[in-house]
Amino acid sequence: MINYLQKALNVRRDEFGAASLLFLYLFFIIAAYIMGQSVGKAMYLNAFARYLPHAIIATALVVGIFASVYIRLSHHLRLGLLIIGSLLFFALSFVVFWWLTRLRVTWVYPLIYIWVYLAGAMGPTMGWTLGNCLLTTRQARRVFGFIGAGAILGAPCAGLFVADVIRAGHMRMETVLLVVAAALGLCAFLVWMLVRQASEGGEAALALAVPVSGDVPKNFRQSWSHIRGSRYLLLITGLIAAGCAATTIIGYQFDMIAYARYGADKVSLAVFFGRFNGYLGLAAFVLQMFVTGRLMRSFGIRATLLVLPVVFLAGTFALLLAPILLTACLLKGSHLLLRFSLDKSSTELLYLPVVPPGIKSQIKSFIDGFIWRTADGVAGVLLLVFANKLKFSPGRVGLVNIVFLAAWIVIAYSLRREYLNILRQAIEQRQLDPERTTAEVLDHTTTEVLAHALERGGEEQVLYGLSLFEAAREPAWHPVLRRLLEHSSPSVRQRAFQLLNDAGDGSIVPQAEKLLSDESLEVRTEAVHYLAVHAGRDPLALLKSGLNIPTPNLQGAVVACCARTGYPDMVSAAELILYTMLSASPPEDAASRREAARALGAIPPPSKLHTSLVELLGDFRPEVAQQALLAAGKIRRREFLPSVIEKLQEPNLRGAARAALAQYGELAVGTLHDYLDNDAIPTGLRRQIPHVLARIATPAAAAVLTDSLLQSDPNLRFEILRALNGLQRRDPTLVQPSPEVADLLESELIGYYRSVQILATLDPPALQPPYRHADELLLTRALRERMVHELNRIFRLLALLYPPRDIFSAYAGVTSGRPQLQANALEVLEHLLPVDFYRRLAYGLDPEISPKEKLAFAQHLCRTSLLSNAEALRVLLFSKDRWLCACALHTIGELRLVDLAADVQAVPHEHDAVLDETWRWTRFQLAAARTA
Amino acid sequence: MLTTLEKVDILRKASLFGEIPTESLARLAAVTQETSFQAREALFQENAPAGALFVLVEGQVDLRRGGKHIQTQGAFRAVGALPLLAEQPYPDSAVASQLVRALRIERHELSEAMSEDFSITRGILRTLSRLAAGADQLSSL
Repeated sequence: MINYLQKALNVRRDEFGAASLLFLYLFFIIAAYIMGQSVGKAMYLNAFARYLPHAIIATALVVGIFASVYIRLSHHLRLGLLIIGSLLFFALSFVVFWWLTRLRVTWVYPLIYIWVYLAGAMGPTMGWTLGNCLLTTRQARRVFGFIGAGAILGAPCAGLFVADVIRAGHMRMETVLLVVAAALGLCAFLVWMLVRQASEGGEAALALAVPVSGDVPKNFRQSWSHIRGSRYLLLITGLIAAGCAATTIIGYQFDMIAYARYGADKVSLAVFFGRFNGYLGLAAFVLQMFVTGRLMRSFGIRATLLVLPVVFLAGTFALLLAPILLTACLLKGSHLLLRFSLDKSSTELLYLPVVPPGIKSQIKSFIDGFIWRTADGVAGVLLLVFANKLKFSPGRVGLVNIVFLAAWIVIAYSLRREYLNILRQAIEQRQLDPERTTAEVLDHTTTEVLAHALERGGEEQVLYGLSLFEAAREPAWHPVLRRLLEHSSPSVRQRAFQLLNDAGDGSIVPQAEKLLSDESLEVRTEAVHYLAVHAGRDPLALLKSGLNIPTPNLQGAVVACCARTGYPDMVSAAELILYTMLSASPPEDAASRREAARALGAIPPPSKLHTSLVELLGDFRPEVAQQALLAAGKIRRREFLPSVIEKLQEPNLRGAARAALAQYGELAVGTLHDYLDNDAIPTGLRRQIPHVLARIATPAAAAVLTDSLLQSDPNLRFEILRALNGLQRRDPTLVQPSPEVADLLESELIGYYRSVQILATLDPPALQPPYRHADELLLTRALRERMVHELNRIFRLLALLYPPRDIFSAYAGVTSGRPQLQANALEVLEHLLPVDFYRRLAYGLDPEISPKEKLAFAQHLCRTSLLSNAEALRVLLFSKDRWLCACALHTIGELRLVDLAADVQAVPHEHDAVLDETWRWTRFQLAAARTA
Repeated sequence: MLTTLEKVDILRKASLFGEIPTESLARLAAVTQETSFQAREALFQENAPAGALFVLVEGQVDLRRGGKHIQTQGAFRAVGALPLLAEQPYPDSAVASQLVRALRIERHELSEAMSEDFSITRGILRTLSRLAAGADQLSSL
C-alpha cells in the first residue's frame, strides 16, 4: 500500500516520512484556520458587526508585530523550538478563549477574530519554512506538490465538518475553539516528530536554523531601498498591494452581506461560513489539480495576471447592481477559487527573474509580511471612513474597490512587458537560479523565452537553460527538448530526456529505443525508464529483446533504472542482474564489471546494491577501479572513504580518486585530516591529500590544511602550503591567519639558515654565484635544491600573511638572479614585512652580503656553529630529511670518510629502500677503504 | 651494479636531466637498467621505433645516418632522447666505437615518471627550451 502511494505521489521512500508529516501539518493547520475562521467570524459579526473595519486594521497590526517578533526570535532560537513554541502558544490561547466564552465574556470575540487570522498567516508559513530546511531543493520540488495538497484538502474537510457538527447540534460553537486548539497542538506534535526524525538526537534536531546569507537585505528598510531601486520590483509590490487591498474589501462586503442575511443567528452564520469554505475548498482543489497548470501553460503569465482583477471588477459591478448574498458569494467565491491557484502561480512566477537570487526570499518575505499587512491596514482605514463614517452600504463600498481594481489592472498590464524584458536579461546574464525558485508551474510565455535560450551556445549554456526548465515544481515542456536528444553532449541528452520523461511526452518511443545504445549510461538509463513508463515495456524484457546493443551496457542501464524505483521486486531484479554482471566470464568480464560500477554510481543512496562497490574498488583492472571510484564519489558513503583515499597512491587511479573525493566534499574532510596527520601512513599518500583538500575548497578543508602545517616531511609541508596558496587565490576568505603559520615561518627561516651553515661548511663556493660548479658533489646539489624549496616555503607562508600578489612578485625578483630585480624585490619586502623579520630574511637573500657574513649571521641565528665537514655530515645523517641523509651517506662512501663509520652504523635506514641501499653501499666502501 | 644514488650522480650530469631535482632523479634512476655494448654493437638502428634512450656511463658511441658518420658522443650524454620524446623512429643509428656502459630508460618508464612527477617533466622542458636555440646541441640528444 505504502509502495503504491509512493509510486502514485512520486515521493521516494526516504522522503516519504517527512513529506507525510508535512502533508498532515498543513492539513491540520489549514483545518484549524478554517474552523476558527467560521466560528470566530460568526461570533464577532454577531456582537460587533459595525466594528469589522476596526478588526481588519487591528489584525493587520497584530500580524505585522507578531511576524516582526518571530523574525527577531528566529535569529536567536532554534527553528524547531520556535515553531513548536509558537504553535503551543496559539493552542493555549484558544483554550483560554474557549474558557472565556463559557463565562460569556464578549470582549474576547475580537481577540478570537484576530488570533484566527494570526494563526492562519503564521502557521502555513512556518510549515513551508520547516519543509525548506528539512528537504533538499530537489526533494522539495518533487514533494511540495503532495505537501501542498494537504493545505488544499484541509479547507473543505474542516469547513464541511464544522458546518455539519454545529448544524446537527453535536457541538457548540464555542467548543469548536477547543477543536482548533487540539488541531494546533497536533501540529506542534507533528513538528516535534519532524525535527526528531531529521537527526538522531532530539536536542540536535531542534538545532535546525534558518539559513541567513550575508549578502541579503537584513531588515525591512534595506529591503525597501532595494525595491525602490528596481522598477520591476516596484511594479510587483504595487500589484500585490493593490490585490491585497481589493481582496480585503471584497472580504468585508461578503461578511457584511452574510451578516445582513443571517442577522442575530450566529450558529447559522457559522454554518454558512463553514459550508461556503468547504465547497469552495473542494472547487479550488479541483481547479488547482486539473486546470491551473493547463491554463498557465496555454495562456501564459501575460494573460493569467489579468484574470483575477478583471473577474473582480465584473463581480464588484454586479454587487453594486444587486447587493445580495448570491452576488457576494460569486465575488468571494471567485476570490477563493482564483487567488490561491491561478493568481498565486502567476505571482510566484514574477519572482523568477528577480536577481540576485539570494535576495529573492528576503524581498518576498518583505512583501508578504509588510506590504501585504500594510495594504490590509489601508483597506481597513478606507472601510472605516467609507462604511462607518460615510455610511456606504456593503454593496456601495465596491465603488472604493474599483480604484484598487483599476490600479491592479494597470500594474498587471505594465508588468507583462517588464517581465519578459527582465527574464530575457536574467537568462542572458545567467543570473537565474533554478534552485531558489518556488514557482508551481512555468507558463507558456516563460517556457518560450527559456526555449529560445536553448537554441544557442555550447554545452554549458544549454545545460544552464535546461536547468531553468526544472525551476518549477511541475515539469515544463517544449518541442525544442526533443531536438536536444541528438545533442553531442551526453549530459545535455540526459537532462533533455529527463525533462521529456517528467513532462510525460509519450511520442518519442522510437528515439528512446535508439538511445538504448547511447554511449552514456545515464542516457541509457533514462531510455529504459522512459520505455517502461511511457511505452509499458518491462525493463527486464528489454534484456531478452535481441537489440543490437552490447549486453553489459543494457544490463547496466536496466540495473540503474530498476534500482532507482526503490520497489522491492525491482530492486531484487536489479540485484540479480548485477550479480550476473559481477560474475561474467572473459572476454566480457572487464566490460561487465566496468558497467556494473557505472550503474552503481547512477543509483541514488541509500541502496543495498552499493555494497558490491567494495569488490569493484579492489578490482585489478584500472578501467573497472576507475569507474568504481567515480561511483563512490557519487554515492558518498563513508565506508568507501578509506579505499578511495588509498587509491591516491596509484598513479593510474589518482585522477579518479581525486575526482571522487572532491565529490564527497565536506564529508571526506575529517577522514582526510586523519590520514594527513597520521605518521604511520606512507608519505607518498599523505602528500596527495593537500591537493584533494584544495579541490574540496571549503572553510573546513582550509582549516584542516592550516591545522596540519607543522609536518616533519618538508615535501608534505610544501604540498600543504601549495594547496593553501591555491585556496587563497580562489577565495581569500577561506584561509584565515593562524598561529601555526607564524610558528612555521620562524621554523622554516631557521631551517634555511641551518642549510646555509651546512652548505658553507661543506662547499663554500656553492653559496656564491654562479653557485653550480663542475666538480660539485651530489650532496651539494641536493642541499642547494633543499634551500630553494625552503625559500619557496618561506615565501608561500608569507603569502598567507601578506598580500600574496606582492609576495610572489618579490619571490620572482629574489630568485631571478638579476641584481636590479633582486634589489627591487628586497625593497618591496622591506615595505611589507616587520623590520625584524625583514632583516633576518634579507641576510640570506641580499646578493651584496658576502657568504662569510651570511655564515656568521646563520651561526648567530641558529645559536650554533659547524666547525668541520664531518660535523656537517653528521647533522645531515641524523636529520629527518631522508633524501639528504642518503646523499650524505653517499658522500661519505664516495670520499671514504672512515672517521664517520660509527655514525654511519647508527643511521636508521630500514624504512626507506634508497636509504637502505645507500647505507649498505657506504658501509661496503668504508670497509674497503679500511682494508686498503 | 650501480646504486640508485650512483645512477642519480650520472643522470644529473647528462644535459637532458640536468635541470631535474636530484630527488626526482632518484625515481627515474630506479627504472633505469645498466647495460653494456661491445665495440661495433648497435645501441639502436636508424628508422627503428624509438623504444628507449641511453645515458652513456663509459665509452663512446658513433651516430650514423645513411651510413654516414654524423658525430660521436661520450660519457654523460643521452642518446636517442629526442625521437623517444617525439615518439618517432630513431633518425640515426648509434653504434659503440668501443666498450660502452650505459643506463637504458624505456619509453613507457620515462612517460610514467614524467606523468607521476611533474618536476621531471619541468626539468626536461627547461632543458629543451634552453637548447632550442642551438639546433646542433638539440639534435645530439
